[in-house]
Amino acid sequence: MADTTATSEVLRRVLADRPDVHRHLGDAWAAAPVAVEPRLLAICAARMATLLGGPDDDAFPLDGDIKERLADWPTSDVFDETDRACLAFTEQFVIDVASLDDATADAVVTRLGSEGFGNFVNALLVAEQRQRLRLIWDRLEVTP
Amino acid sequence: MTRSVRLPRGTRIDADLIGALVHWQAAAVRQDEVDPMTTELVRLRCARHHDCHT
Repeated sequence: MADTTATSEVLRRVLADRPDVHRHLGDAWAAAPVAVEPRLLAICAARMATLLGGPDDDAFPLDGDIKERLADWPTSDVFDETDRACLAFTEQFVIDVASLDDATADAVVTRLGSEGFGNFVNALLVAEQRQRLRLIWDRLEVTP
Repeated sequence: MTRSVRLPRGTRIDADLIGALVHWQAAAVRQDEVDPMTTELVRLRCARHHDCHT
């Protein structure tokens, strides 16, 4: 059965004897929804969790049934063009970051601008690092 | 597939986020309890992330 402990709590427990590492990761995660619109980051982090096979990150709640609709993001009317551009980018980012093509990146730049694109990628990187750390620690059963 | 420079020179990135990322990654790199094989796997993964071929 999957561990339902919140990701933030797993990170806190495993990094308890490395407070500087935990603090800096926490700072980065706190800065992410300031630099990127929180709902946009939340849906992309949720989609990332599905693709990685991990539990949802616990950082941001999503309204209504938006999480259940994420699997249908290409066609669901819950999502707008900005959401779709960023979700498409997120999927390629998770599956094979080095193969991200210009068209997928340009679609995000078109919606968010260059500055927004840079912030989005950095925020996505923090989300991915949190989730991958949590998954590997679950696998290794190292969480106290 | 073609890939080009995606951020024009001078693009202003959120200072708090990039600063926190730099500190977090530096703190992780300073850990010295990881075995050489795992360290190399992580280095290769990071190189792929950054599209680095060295």
